[in-house]
Amino acid sequence: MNGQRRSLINVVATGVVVMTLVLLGLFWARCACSDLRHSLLSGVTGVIEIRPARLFPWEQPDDPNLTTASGVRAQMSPMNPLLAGLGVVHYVQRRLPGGPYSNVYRWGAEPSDPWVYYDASLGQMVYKGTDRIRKNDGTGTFRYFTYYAGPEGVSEAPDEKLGRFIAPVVDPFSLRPWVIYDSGLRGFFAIHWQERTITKGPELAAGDMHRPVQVGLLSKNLMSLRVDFLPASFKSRPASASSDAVPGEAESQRLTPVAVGDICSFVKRVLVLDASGRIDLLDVDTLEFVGEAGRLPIPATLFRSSTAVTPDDVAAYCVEPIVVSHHGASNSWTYAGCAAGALSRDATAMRLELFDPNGRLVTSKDTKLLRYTGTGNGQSPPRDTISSVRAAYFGVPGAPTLTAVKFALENLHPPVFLLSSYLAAPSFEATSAYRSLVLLPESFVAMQAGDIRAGPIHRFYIAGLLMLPAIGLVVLLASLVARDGMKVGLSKDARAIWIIGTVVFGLPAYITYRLTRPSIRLVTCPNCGQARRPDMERCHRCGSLWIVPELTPPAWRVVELPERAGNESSAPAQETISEA
Amino acid sequence: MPDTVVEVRNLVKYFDGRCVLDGVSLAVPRGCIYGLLGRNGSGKTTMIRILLGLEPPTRGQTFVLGEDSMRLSAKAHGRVGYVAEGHHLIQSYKVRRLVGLCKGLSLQWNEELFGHLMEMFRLPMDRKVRELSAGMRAQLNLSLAMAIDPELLILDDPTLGLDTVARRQFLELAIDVIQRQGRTILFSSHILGDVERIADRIGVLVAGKLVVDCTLEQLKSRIRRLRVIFPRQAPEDLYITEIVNQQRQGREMVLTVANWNPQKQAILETFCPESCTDLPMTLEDIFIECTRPASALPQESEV
Amino acid sequence: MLSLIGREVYDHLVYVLACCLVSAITIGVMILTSVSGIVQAAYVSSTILMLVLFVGLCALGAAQMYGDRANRISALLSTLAVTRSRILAARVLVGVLTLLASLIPVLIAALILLSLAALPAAFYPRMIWEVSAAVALTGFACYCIGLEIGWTTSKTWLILGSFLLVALLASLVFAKGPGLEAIAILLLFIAAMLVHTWHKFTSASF
Repeated sequence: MNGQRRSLINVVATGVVVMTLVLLGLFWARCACSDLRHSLLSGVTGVIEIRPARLFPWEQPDDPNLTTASGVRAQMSPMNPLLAGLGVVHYVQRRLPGGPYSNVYRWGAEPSDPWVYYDASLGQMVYKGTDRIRKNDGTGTFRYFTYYAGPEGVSEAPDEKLGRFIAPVVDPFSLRPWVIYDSGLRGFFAIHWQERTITKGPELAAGDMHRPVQVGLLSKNLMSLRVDFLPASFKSRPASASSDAVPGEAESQRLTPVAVGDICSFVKRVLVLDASGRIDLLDVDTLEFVGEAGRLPIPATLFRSSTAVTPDDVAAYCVEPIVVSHHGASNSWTYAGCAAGALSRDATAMRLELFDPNGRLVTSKDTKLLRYTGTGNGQSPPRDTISSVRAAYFGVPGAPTLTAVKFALENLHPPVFLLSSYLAAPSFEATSAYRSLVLLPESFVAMQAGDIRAGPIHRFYIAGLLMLPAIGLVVLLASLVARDGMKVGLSKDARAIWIIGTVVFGLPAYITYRLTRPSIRLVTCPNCGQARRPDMERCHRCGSLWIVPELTPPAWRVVELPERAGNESSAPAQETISEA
Repeated sequence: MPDTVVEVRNLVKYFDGRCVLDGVSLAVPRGCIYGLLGRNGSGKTTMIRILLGLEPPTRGQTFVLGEDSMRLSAKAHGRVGYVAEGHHLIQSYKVRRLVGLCKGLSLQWNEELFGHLMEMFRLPMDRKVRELSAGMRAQLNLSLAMAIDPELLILDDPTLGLDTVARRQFLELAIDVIQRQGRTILFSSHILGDVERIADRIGVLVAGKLVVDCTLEQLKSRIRRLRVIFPRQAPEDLYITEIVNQQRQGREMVLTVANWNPQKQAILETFCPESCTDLPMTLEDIFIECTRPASALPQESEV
Repeated sequence: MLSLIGREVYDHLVYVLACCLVSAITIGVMILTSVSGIVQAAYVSSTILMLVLFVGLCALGAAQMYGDRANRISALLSTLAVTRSRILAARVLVGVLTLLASLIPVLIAALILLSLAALPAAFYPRMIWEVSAAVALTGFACYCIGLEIGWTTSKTWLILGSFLLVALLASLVFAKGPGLEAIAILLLFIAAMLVHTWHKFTSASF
């Protein structure tokens, strides 16, 4: 392998190593910055409450019986929600039961616990469980069963006639019935395990706008954000007058993996989250959509991002359905609406929205920071309120410094990565910032890409301004590389490649250059007086041949040329001392 | 098989901005014993290390057994025996382990010769290398180099640390190697008596240049020391080129000249010397004259 | 080649055995925690022990190169019938063998323990292979860091640099998760490190 090729391979190898280590270092610095920002905020803006909810007509403000009206509350976890996006956490969560990469939806440590999973080799759902059977003598025993369910039916043994599910989206928590959407078959299915039957919904047409991504418990990053219904309290229960106008207690069932009840069993409805962020209501009996239940809220961002958010656009969301029981002749329940909370991409803002049974927005609330005069001990009235996102970046003590640090860290990345972040911003999942080394989903540049207030040219212009420090840095580094390259005698082509590489890859390229540049100590050329490389035959500045002035060899030589070695009688060979 | 076993082409080597070798070229033919001479720091060890690929050249190329030194194959390495200055052996190893390692990594191993050498030098197998004396390490190094039956033996001051008897034994070994057809030796030494005894060709490094590269006989015939007595004061300038050294005292001048020829003789005679005596020179005398610093010599222009 | 490998193993036996010891301890901890049912403790202790193993592998690589430079071993070896590439290849092979000797028993133990658990279905069948590959590649990358950083005469830089770079590299698995992305990055990183080390070693002065 010739020297040039070896050198090129060495440069590329060094570049890969340097790039990896530099990007890792910058990654953790960005994460630390984000963590600090979250810790500044969470004590201040971690909870929002809407009370009164104004969902129920029987909760009148002037009712002396009403102690506290019902409401909803959204609460952010004190732990940084973006940690859920950290690679190892993200990896495990997606592979644990219920995660998108796991085929297991229900599982337990005890032998009697039910297991529900998707068998990809069969293309069928499998339910392994136990039934308690009472014997004639009054004692009980367990019956172990296994059911297999395909699109065409349910049986106790795997059977090709049951058909195959292709790409099921499953509600992992409700088993009675178990609602599945198969994106391959484009339809809903409800499996009734006990009856061993399956209900098939109509296939969605090719042009249908529905693209379900989640069924049943609608949540993402549940550890980071919870939405709860806060029931009303009365001094005494109102007496029932008639069966038609009977005020009842509002109940909400929070769906959790261990919840016994769910709205499905109360109102025969299930919530379906669409890829567009719309929340639909699905009838469990007919498996048809019966209307909209609401939308994912749009939390505030530094650059206003969109008129609608998709599940990928927010760091966390949680939808809490509300059902109401009616006391009377028939103990029936009705769907009363839902509360949806969402956390912004950078976890600096939360929004809570309340929807009525028809999916209309009733009220909403955003996280805000109350600013007080003086010491801010809350004794004096608040001076003003600012949105939590502005507080996170500029409002609270320490925030401006963190913002400046974040900006600086972003601009230490190669400009090509910043530009790619700008171009690819719409496709980023919100929490991917905590596992992305190369692209920067949470950078100012990427956020600017989603700013709907401006046109594309203006957006790009602002993004360019945000990238100015990075551009300035690479120009400076490229000029240093050019100057040093000239000094060490790199060829014109090599200098050009290094300059372009530094402009594109920035700091890692400069570090690579410093590590791989020829480590030759330059000597002074006796002809032009400038520093030159001794390993080159001619001075790369003045082109003069090589002379070593500090060495003064004698003028004479006693050298025998090999072809005249046998010719002793002739005049001895004298070597003419010539320039090399 | 190539006729030239060692070839150096325009070799330049810099260490931290200081030039050690400045365009050195030489060729060592097969079967030759080449003595490389030079003062301390003249670049002998550097050149040898570059030949073996232990050091990269700054410029120029070197070839050993027809292969580029920086890309010597394992086979080429196996055909070269090397005794390094300072005897770079793995100090923490026992002799037996070191021998086992060298044996395992050699292409061929002459167990009989090695055993004979170990017996001759009386080297203990169970002692660690660092516990051996300098002389014993030299003997061990030499034995390991000889045991592989090398085609080319490179010796960098091999007798450093050896006592007189061991040195004589080494020389006899070297002669033994010489007598095997096709073997070549390149060695450097400060003990010129030994070099004079066994070398065919001599190379002398001065100020980064190879100022001498010829057979020993040629060297002795081409460098002449003359004692010239003039009728009056010895002239300041004799107009003779290639003067190696010149000492004047009154009417007497001792002149050392390279490449003495009839033309130079004729020039000298124009000064009508009273007498001109040829003083015999040993290799050591020649070496001292050749390596005298340039500042001690009269200014001369280059030919 | 076998002579070279044997020499490397013999000279650095302490490090090789230490890595195997860490592996044995990991297996012991896994068995104990699975018997006692403390799953969380199993993950935490295994993670810590793997980090110790990474440091051990880095130390092996660093010791190989530092020892070579300090004792001028390659100065002798490269005058024998071997090339520098072969010397380095034998060295790396010893690192690979040590890594495999440390990790394969752990993997086998993990597979046995998982099979004993006899779950009706695996949560994610490929998880054990992805995690094993990520751990193995991280270990090898740490070893390569040791090889690279060992070629120095400064003990301070050797120790500090090793810890810093191992910590940084091991954090890659936490940052990206032990999935295919991390595996691809690690493969690229390892290839680049080996090429750089090879270039440095074959063009160095001995």
